Parts: sequence; structure tokens; C-alpha cells
Amino acid sequence: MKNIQRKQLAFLLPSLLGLTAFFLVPLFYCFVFSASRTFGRFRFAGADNYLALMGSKAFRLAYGNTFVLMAGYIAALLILSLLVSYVLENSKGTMAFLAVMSAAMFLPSVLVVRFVGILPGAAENSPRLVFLFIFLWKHVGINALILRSASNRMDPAWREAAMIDGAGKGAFFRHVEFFYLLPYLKFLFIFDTTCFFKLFRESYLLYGLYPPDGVYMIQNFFFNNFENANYQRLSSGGTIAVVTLFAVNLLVYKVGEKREIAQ
Amino acid sequence: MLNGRTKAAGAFLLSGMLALTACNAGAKPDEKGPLTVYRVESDALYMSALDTYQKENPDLEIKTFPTYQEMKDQLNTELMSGKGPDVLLYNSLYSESDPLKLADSGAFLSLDEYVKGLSDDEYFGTILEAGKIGGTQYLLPLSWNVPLAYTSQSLAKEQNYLDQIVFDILPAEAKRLESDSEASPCSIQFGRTDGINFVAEMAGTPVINHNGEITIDQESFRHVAELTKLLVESNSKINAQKYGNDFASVGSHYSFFLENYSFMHNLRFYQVVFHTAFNEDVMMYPIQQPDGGVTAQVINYGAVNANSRNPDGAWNLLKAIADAPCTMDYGKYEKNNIYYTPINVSAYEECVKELFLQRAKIKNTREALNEENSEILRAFPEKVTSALIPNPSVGALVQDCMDPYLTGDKDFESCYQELMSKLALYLDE
Repeated sequence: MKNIQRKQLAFLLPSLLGLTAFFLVPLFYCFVFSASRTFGRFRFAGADNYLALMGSKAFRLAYGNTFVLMAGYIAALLILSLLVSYVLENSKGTMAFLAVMSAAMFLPSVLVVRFVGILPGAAENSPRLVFLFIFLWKHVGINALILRSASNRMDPAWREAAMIDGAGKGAFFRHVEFFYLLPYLKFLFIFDTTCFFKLFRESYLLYGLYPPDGVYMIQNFFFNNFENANYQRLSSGGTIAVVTLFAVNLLVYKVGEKREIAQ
Repeated sequence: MLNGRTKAAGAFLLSGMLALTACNAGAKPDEKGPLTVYRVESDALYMSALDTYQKENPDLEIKTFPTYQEMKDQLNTELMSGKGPDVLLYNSLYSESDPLKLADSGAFLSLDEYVKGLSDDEYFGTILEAGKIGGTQYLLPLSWNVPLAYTSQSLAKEQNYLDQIVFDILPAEAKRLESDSEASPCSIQFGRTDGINFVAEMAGTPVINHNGEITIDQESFRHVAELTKLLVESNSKINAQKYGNDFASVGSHYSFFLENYSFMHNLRFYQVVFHTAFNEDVMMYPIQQPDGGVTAQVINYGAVNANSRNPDGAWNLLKAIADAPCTMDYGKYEKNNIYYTPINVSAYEECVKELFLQRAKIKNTREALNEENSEILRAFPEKVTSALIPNPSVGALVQDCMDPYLTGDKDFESCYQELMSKLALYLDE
């Protein structure tokens, strides 16, 4: 038994070292310097950087916007993706269609921004709607494709049995398929979170360093502080963002797990 | 409870992290090491002053970058790991570094103790003041400039412009020439991309002050915006005409023009050009504010890295750049000429003397700065009542927000509201 554990550990070691060097150490470094008065050389500042950050309207605006928009946009994206996946019939053509839709994810940001520019006044008057549109446009294809592929993996006997019992397509989706897709939705939530942060590219191209207040997000705050070499602020902000993201993902994971168990 | 194996794994991870984070420890605290400095090859002042200093101090390590952007990219990474050169050198026209935010981030060492030792007889005190941020001297101004307006003495007499300030003359001159399609009423060589911010500085109402506070109000800024619009419209008019720039069309095409280049060199240049081409005397106006004050802008400035292990050596180098002699006696604008005015009083006086004694070769003639204009230059530093380091972040922000007003796409009020909202974000970041 001990031998097996040692072998397992030996296989895990390279990955553990990689995780430590490229993820845990930078995170630790970021955390340490979030409590320093200067960067590079540590001079203990206690919670001063955090207090200054909390007192900053710009940070509060960026933080609030980021997590409110993230929740709203990802919810809208998941609902729309489920809808698309549900509406489209299971066939080879469907998969090909969704694969083509997924290509939107790889569209260069410049092209996307140029397209938005065609809509007169959109970027100036409704920045949040513009961002929602871009986010859905770029990601609904890949999300629906993953959900449709997951549905295809479902045992066809379940659907047949449900139909024999008189369940329609909607009832089957509500009571069976949705819960089957829950683990995939959890994965998509994390995937879409990273995609959400990529919206900064379009934001930068559309509005530069200072977008309208409604879409001023944490990336803008970080980017501007990086440009100005304010790494203490960057570290304390980064620590808060990481903790929040971790908490959100943990919550989604736990809630999803409970629903799966309950089902 | 954690079992022994988990604790051991935790300890292993933690020690690994500490070992890796300690990798950047670098030199020991008492180890000074050689003095280091970065510069950009297009900056003539830094190129010549540092080369001279290195001859006397061979320990100095100089790294030369082709552009400020490349220097900034490397500096950002190095400052992040507590490194970077001892001396940080900037240029307010090209380096795109934000002095206010950099000082706020703790990147610079306070120079208060060092600057106390500089006397007002040796250095222009008003210009030195521009290096203070939030009451602390973080930056040492190394060169400066004042935008000036030029016209002919005959026009100034004819239109009674002699005792007026530029901000009143420009609209009057624009109105006078409204119906003249051939002439452009006035023009400006901003020398900067943030025209509206520049005009605000000249008007003595900069958008933010040294302490990072918004100092403009809607009415004074409206006046600035209107004036900038007038100048921008004049410029676009001239672009569509025969001449591409002020130098090409000076005097023949503009009745009144403003520029932001080397004022010492250019006063002699325009004196000669006006004489030879139009048989006229040039009239030079410092751009005075309504209260009579003149604002100078700092072009070159330096700071000492907060992480420097040799702050005294770094200060000595900065002072050597400030004291470096320079010449304003050159035939045309070239890469190796120092364009802007020294902050050292004797170096300044030497430049005036040189312009007075040396006859410049311009348009097939040789002429030195005349007595009257030499006196104007000698007395000029006393006219300067305030100085500032232009902030490129604020400049870009102001320009972004006000551009739709300048192009006529939006009204002033909506642009101003947007500017105020973005400025609040910028200052709060």
C-alpha cells in the first residue's frame, strides 16, 4: 500500500512542483507584497494597502461592476446556451452549425469592435448592452456546442423511457436533462468566467483606459495601476479579486453538488 | 486535524515558496554597487550629459534604449522586482510616464534634503518647484520651456496689440481675418498631442495641480476649450493650403503664431527670418495669463529610484545633468541638439551670451541675436511665475473626452461632464 502511495506521489510531484512554481508562489508573493509599503523590498504596512483600496471609489466601482456584470452576463449566456442547445435537434447538421457558431470566439477583437461601430451611438449610449452583446455573440456557440455534445452522451434509453411514460421534450429537459447537464454547467461557469475577463480587449479598443462608469471593471483598474507601477495596490486588489473568485467558484461548485446529490 | 504527511507536504510547499520568493533578494543592503542609469538615444541632453559624466566616473553603467516605450517596458518589470536603475530619467513630451502616479506608488526617493542645498542664485527656484508632488520634492526638473507667440512689430502696432495678452489677441486676430481666405489668422505648434490640456496650462488653469487635485471649473475650462477650438480650426485650414508647417510659412501665412519649441534658439531664428524675408522686426509674446503670470513646462526631469542602494551617487548624477552646459546655437533641428532651457542659471546665461555673440546662418545671411532680444531673454526667467511637469495621462484623458467638442460632434457640457467623471476615476485609482 505504502509503495503504491509513494509511486502516486512520484507521479504527482512534477505537477505539484509546476503548480507551486507557477501558481502558488506568485500568489504568495502577491499576498506578501499586498502588505508592503514599497514593492521589491518588503516594508511592512499592515492592512494599510487594503484600507486605502477600500477607500478608493475607483476600486469599489471596478469591483462592483466586475462581479455584478459577470453574474448577469454569465447567467444570460448559460440560459441562452441551454436554450440554443435545447431548441436545436440532435443531428450532424446541428453539430456542424454549432461548430461554426463557436468560431465567433476566435474572432479578432478589432473586427468585433468594428462591427459594434456600425451600430450608431451604441457604444456611447448603452455600453453594458454592447458588452453583453459581444459576450453572447462570442461565446454562445462554444457553450451550446459543449452542452449539445454532453446531451448526446446521455443514454438514449432514458429519453425513450421518459417518452413511453408520456413526458414531452420540455418535461424531460426540466426533470432529467438539466440535472444531467449540471456538472457541465459548472465547468462552463468557470470557463465563462475566464472568457468574461477577456472582454477587456474589446473594452480597451472601444473606450481606451477609461471606459464609461458602467463598464469600468477591475481589469481597467489593474491595467492602469500596472502602467503607473503601483504594485502594492495591484497586489492588494489582486488578492481581493482572487479570494472573491475562489469563493464564487466554490459556492457554485457546492450548490451544484448539492443539486446533483438531491437529484 | 492535519496528519503528519499533510503537514510535511505543507512545510515542503511553504519552504519552496519562500525559497523562490527569496530569489530576487539580489545584493546585500550595505553593498552599493555601480551607479546605474537608463536613457533614450533621442534625448540629446541625457546623451551628452551622461557621456561627459561617465568620462569622469567610469563606474557609471548606462543603458541606452531606442525609445521611451522600450525603456518603460523594462523599467516596469524591474521596478516590480525591486530593481531598476538608481537614476530614473524622463521627458514630459515623449516618455508617457505619469509623475503623479509614480510618486504615489512609492517608486521615487524624496529629494527634499538634497534640494534644500540648492541656492536660488544657482538654479531657477520656480522651475524646481514643479518637481514637488504633494509637498515632497520627488523629481528634479532638468530642462524647461515656455510656449511663445510671435508676430511682426508693425502688425502689433497697427492693431494695438502691444500691451495686450495673447489670450485676448488671438480671438481678436481671428475675427479680423475671418473673411480672408488666403491668410490663416493664427496657428499653433503644440509640440504635444494634448492640445487642450496644453492651452489650459498656458492659461494658468491646469486641469490638476501638484497635489493631484482638480483645479478647473466649468467656465474657465470652457474659455480654454473655445480657444483651443479656434487654434485647431486655424491649423486644419492651413493644412489644406500651401504650407505644411509653421516654419515653412512663417510670417507670410500666419499673422500670429504660437509654438512650443526651444524659445531661446527660436527667438534668434525668427528675428533673422522676419528681417531677411519681410524686412520686419519680430515681436515675441510670452503667453501671459490674465493675471500676468507665465507658466513654464518642465521637459526633462529625473528622480532617484526608491530602491537605490546609492542615493547620494544618484543625486550627484542628477545634479550633474542639471549643471551640464549646453548650446542653443545650432543651424537647424537635429537629433543631437539640446532644445530646451537649462535650469542652471549660469548655463542659461551662457546660452544667451552665445546667441548674442554667434551669428547664425539662416536663409543665406548671418545674424546674431540683437541687443533688445538678448535683454528680453535675460529678463525672461523672472517673468515665469509658475512651472509644471505636464502629465501625459491627464493630457490623454482630457484630449479623449474633449475631442468630440473640438470636432463639433458633441457639445461642451456633455464632454465636460465625461471629463470630470473620468478624472475622478483617474485620481482615485
